[in-house]
Amino acid sequence: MELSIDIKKQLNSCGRSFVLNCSFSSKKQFVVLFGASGSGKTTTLRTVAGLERPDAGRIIAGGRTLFDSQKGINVPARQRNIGYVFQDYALLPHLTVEKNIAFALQPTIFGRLSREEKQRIDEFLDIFHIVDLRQAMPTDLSGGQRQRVALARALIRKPDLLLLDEPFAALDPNLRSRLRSGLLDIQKHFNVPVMLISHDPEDVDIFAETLVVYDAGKVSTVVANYQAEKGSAGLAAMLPSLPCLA
Amino acid sequence: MTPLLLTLKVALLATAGAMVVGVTAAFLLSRGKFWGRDLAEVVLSLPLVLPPTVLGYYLLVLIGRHGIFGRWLHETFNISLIFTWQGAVLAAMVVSLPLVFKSAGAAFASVNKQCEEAAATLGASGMTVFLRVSLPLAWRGILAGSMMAFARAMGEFGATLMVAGNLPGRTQTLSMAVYDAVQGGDYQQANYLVLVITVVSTIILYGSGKLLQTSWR
Repeated sequence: MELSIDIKKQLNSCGRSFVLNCSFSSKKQFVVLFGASGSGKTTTLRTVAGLERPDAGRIIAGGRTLFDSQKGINVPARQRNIGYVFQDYALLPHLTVEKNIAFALQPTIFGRLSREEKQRIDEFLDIFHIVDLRQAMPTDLSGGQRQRVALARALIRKPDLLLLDEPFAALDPNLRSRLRSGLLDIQKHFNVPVMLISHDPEDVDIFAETLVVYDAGKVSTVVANYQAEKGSAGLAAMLPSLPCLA
Repeated sequence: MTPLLLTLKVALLATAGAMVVGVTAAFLLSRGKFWGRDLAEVVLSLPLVLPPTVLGYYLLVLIGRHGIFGRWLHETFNISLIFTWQGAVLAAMVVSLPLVFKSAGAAFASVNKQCEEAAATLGASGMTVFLRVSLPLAWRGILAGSMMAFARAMGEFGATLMVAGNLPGRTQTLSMAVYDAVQGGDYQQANYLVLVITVVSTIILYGSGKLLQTSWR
């Protein structure tokens, strides 16, 4: 899918303020936003999801204009059909695993499910290995289990794009490597474009097809085809501040 | 109707009204950013600190025979709320409103905002987010506040006296009956009524405290 982002937004956090200035485009299936925390990665992700509104600019995903300040377009989050997995997963704490997933399939006031939809939920519980947890409450789940539920919940809506905010930061190292390969499998299985945030060079190495490097609110470098250029001298020269990547 | 039954009827209806108005207002104020937001917050909390007689006076100005709203009610529907039990409901509702409003506001503020955002990215409308996410996550706080409101409405005296009067059998609530009993020297009746109010209020305070002790996460 072609993704094209060009936005500006004034940010105020912890008493300091800066202007997020982000511009890149990608045709790849895996985009990694890389950079130190507080550099504007999460804000970028939130504007794509429609949770925050840029001051100016344009966001186009798969030919669909989601935001355009000049044309006055700002598609509400609920109509964007973009999956968002929050850093702490944001499972609904008052609903069971099964009902969290059901919410995504029928996000209406009564949330009544058809027989086909119930079957689909069973299918997803199976794919994500959470059948045994269907009646469990989110508070009783481990970090890895929560992530699987959050992924199932986001993907059951067949999103056009899946956004992941620091998907592995909160997990212990053993689990991290397992879930990384899990995410690769899931991406292949659903064939959904993924954009994820990380400050871990390992994530970049494993996932990045397009790499977007953030530095203090600005996109400092975009590597359109990271896997091809990985290890090349040219790339090392492009990323002088991040020797770990080259 | 006996003072006890009338009090229960008035307090229940007043609490229901305060819940609808208080929860709606609290949710809108906790989410929206609009002009006059702070003023609305203050106005809705005023009954907490104003003397009940002042509130009663405001209500008379509003719904009295010559009041702004009262005249319209009288001319269009030939209804007057003054010296009726419905007037007592209105007075008790206004007095207990801040208890629901305040606790609902705190409850909505404590709801994890990301849960509401997650629901939005999953396709839920604002109404669905409110009914299926915000409200269920805030209900303990809302219920605890509503129980306080019920206790407050049960004991309402000043505003009710000014709006609905103290007509035995028609608008005489428990607290009015206590006043009458003491004035008339009927201490047996006074003791009985005081005991009822004290026991019910104690149970309610205990229950609402318990509700607030446990919460999600």
